Amino acid sequence: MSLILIVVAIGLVMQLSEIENYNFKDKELKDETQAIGKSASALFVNNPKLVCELTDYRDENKVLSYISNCIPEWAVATADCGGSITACKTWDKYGKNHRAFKPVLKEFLGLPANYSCYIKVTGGKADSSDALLLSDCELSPPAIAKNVYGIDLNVMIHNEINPGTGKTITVGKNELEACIKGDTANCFMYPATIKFLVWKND
Amino acid sequence: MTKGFIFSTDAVIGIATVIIVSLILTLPYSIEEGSEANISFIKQELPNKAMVAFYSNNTAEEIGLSSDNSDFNNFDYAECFVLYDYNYDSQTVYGQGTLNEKKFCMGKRALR
Repeated sequence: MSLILIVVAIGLVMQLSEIENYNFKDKELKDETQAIGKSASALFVNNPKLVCELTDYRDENKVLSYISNCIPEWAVATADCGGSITACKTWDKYGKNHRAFKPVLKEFLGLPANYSCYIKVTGGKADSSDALLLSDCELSPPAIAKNVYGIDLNVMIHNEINPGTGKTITVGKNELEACIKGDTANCFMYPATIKFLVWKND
Repeated sequence: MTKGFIFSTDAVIGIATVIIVSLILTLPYSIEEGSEANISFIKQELPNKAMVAFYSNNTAEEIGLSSDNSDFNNFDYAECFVLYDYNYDSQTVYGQGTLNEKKFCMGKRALR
């Protein structure tokens, strides 16, 4: 009887150590995903490569600063950025002189190659319809990924093509002041929520 | 020849006790780990909400926050995000003017 119990006890100890090992690895992956996800979400709303540019009203091409939490809408015909969505994603990658839009690329979010992301915009236009962003994230959320970092980002989407620059990425100082003062006739930044998911590929 | 300890009743009772105690101590832990949510959502972070309210001329109350750090009795502490904007009406030709303080606060609960 004692021998049977000893075998059961040894089996129990082995099973518990296996569970412990699994939990440790799972926690490690979860912590890593959390850290990378938090970093990516902070970059999303602050990285100069992704947010709107504040320009001088005397010279619309002179960038004074960058506007946190303001994301420019992708409002460019594919014909004007390489002919296809795939080409458009890398068109602006290395900062050409005639930049017209800012694609949300994984490298600008600090995401390693073995990580994926998903972006869904709700709102961001004058009529409350959904604004459009160009990104190299996945088209649908993960179906079976185990650990997912998710956040709802509150942002403003700028979707007026600046007559001075022909771009959505620039917001003139006068326009920003109009927004802050509540002058909706001269403000083209609209509140939106971006659901942002980050996960590690298996 | 005696039975020896391993075949004795004392040994059976001792080992059975160890197994039962181990199960009692580790089972709740295993269940908790197994049922833990694997997707974590953090919604409406304070700085993001405050910036959007600032850009769109909304007050803290209009977006569900508070403009001061009082009246958070049901929370462990209050967290505030403060933005400063110059007063357009009182600025001079030299760009000097008074500052408007816009405070956005929300109640928080400490992690337990």
